[in-house]
Amino acid sequence: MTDLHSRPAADPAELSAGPARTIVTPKPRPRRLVRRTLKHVVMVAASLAMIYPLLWMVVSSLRPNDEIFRNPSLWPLSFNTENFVSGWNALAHPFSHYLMNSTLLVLGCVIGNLVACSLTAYAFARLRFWGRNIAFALMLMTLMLPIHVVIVPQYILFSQTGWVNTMLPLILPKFLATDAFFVFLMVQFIRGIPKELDEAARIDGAGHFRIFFQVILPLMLPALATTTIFTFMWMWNDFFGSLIYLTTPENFTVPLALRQFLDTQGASNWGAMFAMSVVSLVPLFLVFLFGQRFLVKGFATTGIK
Amino acid sequence: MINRRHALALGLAVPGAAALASCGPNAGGGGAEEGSGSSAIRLAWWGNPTRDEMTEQVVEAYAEVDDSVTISTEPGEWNGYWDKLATQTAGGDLPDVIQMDEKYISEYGGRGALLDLAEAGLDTSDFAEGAVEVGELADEGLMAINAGLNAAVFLVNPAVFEEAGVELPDDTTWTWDDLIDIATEISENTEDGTYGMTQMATIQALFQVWMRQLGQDQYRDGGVGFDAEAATSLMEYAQRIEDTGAGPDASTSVEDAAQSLDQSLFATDRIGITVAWSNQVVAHDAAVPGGITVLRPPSMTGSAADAQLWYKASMYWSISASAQDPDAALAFVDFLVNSPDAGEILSIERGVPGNLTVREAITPDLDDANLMAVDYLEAIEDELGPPPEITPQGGGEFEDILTRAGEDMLFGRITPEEAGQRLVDDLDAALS
Amino acid sequence: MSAVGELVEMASRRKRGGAKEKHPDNKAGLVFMTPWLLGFLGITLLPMIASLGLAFTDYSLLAPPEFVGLDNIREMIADTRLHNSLVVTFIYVFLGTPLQLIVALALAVVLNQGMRGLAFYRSVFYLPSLLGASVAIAILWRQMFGANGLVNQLLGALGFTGMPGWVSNPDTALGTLILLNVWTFGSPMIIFLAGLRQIPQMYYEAASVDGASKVKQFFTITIPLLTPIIFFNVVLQIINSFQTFTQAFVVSGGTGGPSDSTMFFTLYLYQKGFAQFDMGYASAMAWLLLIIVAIFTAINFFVSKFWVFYDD
Repeated sequence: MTDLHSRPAADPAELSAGPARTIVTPKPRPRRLVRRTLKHVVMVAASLAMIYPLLWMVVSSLRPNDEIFRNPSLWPLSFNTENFVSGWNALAHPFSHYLMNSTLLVLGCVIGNLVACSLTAYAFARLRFWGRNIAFALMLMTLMLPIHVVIVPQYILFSQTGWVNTMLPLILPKFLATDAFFVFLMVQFIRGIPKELDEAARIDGAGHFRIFFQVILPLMLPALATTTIFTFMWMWNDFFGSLIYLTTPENFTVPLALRQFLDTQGASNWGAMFAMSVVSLVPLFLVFLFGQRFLVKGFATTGIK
Repeated sequence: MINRRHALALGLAVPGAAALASCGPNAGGGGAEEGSGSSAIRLAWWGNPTRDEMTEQVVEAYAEVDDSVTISTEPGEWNGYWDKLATQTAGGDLPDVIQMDEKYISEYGGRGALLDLAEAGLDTSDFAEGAVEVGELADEGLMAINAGLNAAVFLVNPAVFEEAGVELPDDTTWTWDDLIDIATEISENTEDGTYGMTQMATIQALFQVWMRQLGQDQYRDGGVGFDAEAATSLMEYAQRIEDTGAGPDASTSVEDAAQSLDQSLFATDRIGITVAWSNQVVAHDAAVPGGITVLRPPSMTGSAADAQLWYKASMYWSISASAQDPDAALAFVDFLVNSPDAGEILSIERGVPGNLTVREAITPDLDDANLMAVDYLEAIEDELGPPPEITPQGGGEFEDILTRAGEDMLFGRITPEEAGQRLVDDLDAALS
Repeated sequence: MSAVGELVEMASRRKRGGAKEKHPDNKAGLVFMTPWLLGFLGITLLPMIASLGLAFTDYSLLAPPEFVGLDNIREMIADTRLHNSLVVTFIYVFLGTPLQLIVALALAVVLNQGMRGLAFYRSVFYLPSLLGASVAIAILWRQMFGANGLVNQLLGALGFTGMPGWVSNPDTALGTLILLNVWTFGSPMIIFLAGLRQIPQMYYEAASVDGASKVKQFFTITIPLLTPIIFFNVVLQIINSFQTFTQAFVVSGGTGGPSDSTMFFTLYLYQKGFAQFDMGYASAMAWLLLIIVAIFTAINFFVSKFWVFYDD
């Protein structure tokens, strides 16, 4: 029962190629070629529509300030790196400072979510204990109240602890599984794992912790990768929470710093803002590129040894 | 269940919040209890990178005046600034020195969140006439001190006038009808997509000018200061701007209004005349490739003496009523508004200083764009009408009310009469 | 079919260890639930209860709240702008959510097949979601759907000239926001992809032995085994769509305009709470929203019994 698939674990080159169908009725070659080409044409066209905003942002960041809004197209290109230099140094601290702050915040939140949400999800998905359904319903309820009414009482709570203007009010809740989205996500993934695996482990004498760590966790790698990517992305872009809790520039994160470029009543430094937006996207994109490799490791590729 | 929660909420949470609101720990201040004689001040403002830099410099300069005070700076951006300030107030955690806006003086001051600066002993003897009163609340005292003077001003993009072959009007004699005629001429003599004027009738600054010229005002005795008839006349004027082609259609106007200054039709040479506050002159001048010219707003009578302009504070400084060390905060605010040294650093970025000594000290160093703003303020000094009332609680919503009524009318959903009536009704509801 | 059916049946059979005991895992449950319990009781619950209490008060944020009984509820019943914001939100939820999920699922399925350049496409399709609802995106969106924007230029090339600006027109502004939502389908797509990857390969192999076609495999294996994830996405996207805020806020500059056409419920709530200093009313609104969302979620969970397939 532990050997779920007859196919040997795929080699890394195949990781991105999807589950290979070992037995497929072969189709006549020319038709297949046409279909494949057509598919790629459609995909490339779709990709262009998707990637246009990013290209525009990059192109704009390389344009002088007064040209940015006169030209909605990507052409002509210009290579004015001045925005990057001025944007990097325009605020109270060099931009690297804000990148560091954001990185710290995001790392704390990712670790917190991975640990706390997976523990909670295991309990909800696999354990039968008193009050489980009520707890689950309450947890879902926490997703349904808009942040704007909860944040003020929460701020009052945290201001009592003296943690305002530190990252604790943003990170600590993640270690206490307050991100119900990820708990629910992981619950759904765990419920998709055949229960026979748990049973087999239990027969081998494993307790809940061993089942959790040795059976469930490795199998929910896609869910963990998803959690990592989303937590990273959402906290990297988080504005309202950071705005309320982080007050001085030395603690500002990237989204707060980016807003400092804007002046709703006067002239904003758009070029610098675009340039730094592009810079702040780089870590996000790298994390996604790296994370998606784990995203596709499901049953299809991870074996149960 | 509901009853129990209800009771729990009221018994526990709400008085909790109330209690907390009055005795917050001012956590961000830090270091306040270190050694004797030293104190910490939290300074919060909204702005832009230039203002941020100047303000940081002033803070550094203050170290030479009094090095026992540590000032931590909390810059922000307009929208986020007010959300944060309200949350901090709820938590009893308000910064000590706060950059304040006219719209919010009553909201904060009227609820006891701000210190009476006059009572605390702030020296305002050097301020121009009328410059201090704009921070006074009738029952509370001087809630905020003027950080810079401002007035409604018409901005002209000369490049558009030139392209249309239209002469600049004489701003001491022009009327609202002249404005429409000139703007229509510009629209007709330029290519499609270029207009004479913005849809300015739904802008609050203009609304106030219009009402004052009709002998009314935005607010009277803490309530609505205009009647439906007056409001309707302005809405009809807005309709005229669109119908004559003097200004753009509703959709284009909405699009333009959502743009930031440097993306606007005015800054991109596609509109000839717009309305603004005088502290925005410099930014507009920088954004418009060929520079700008300033004009007085038109009048109903054709005489600038009847234009009923007034000095508005572009922004203020306030001190939190719960400041840990009010004396230190007061001394710093005194430095900000009364010291020529501070004035030289801050220049007129926040508006022209209301303190005449400071203004005199910094005027020689100003560049042309800044001088344009100062000269305008001085030119209209003799033509000013009585100062308007401070926006009462709830009045901050009027800008939205005006925009909404204007849009509904321009998109043909309601008539000018209905729009005018709604302005009165909605503002009345917001104030109560 | 028979082999697949057997497998599915086998997997769905519930084997309970101690069937007599109703809660056999109370102790382990407490251990695993400790972080959540601490967080819920310590951080989440109190603010929620506070907001419920505040719903019956007049609370300006700047001064202590005052009990006003049912005033806020009475005001909500009469508040036409609130009713309008509900309409806007409902349109957005019930047009935007299905559209976004269908696109996300379709692309996840396509991307899950063996295809050259797959990692590239996946990244590209996810990019818009990475950008989030940043100021830069808001600006771009306004530009693209402006009177002289890219969309109208394309339409002009197709012969449709003189089209108005889409974002600045009350009749079309909401549509562009729905489109913006569909365009950021990356997050549900990633979740679908992860779910697809979790389907045990053995099911497909067994089906292939049985000679089931790919289409048949899709409907008898992929879809049923993906239902927990589809369910998750449906539930969460509906919850999130009801609370849509950031996109509308940045694209309309916080006004919900033109003419309140993009005034979402939470945007109105935010304006009431923070701009108009009426946090009591905003709290009452929040609980109204919670009730609405809870009803839809409960319906979702009830209906799920008929279509979601769990392996436990």
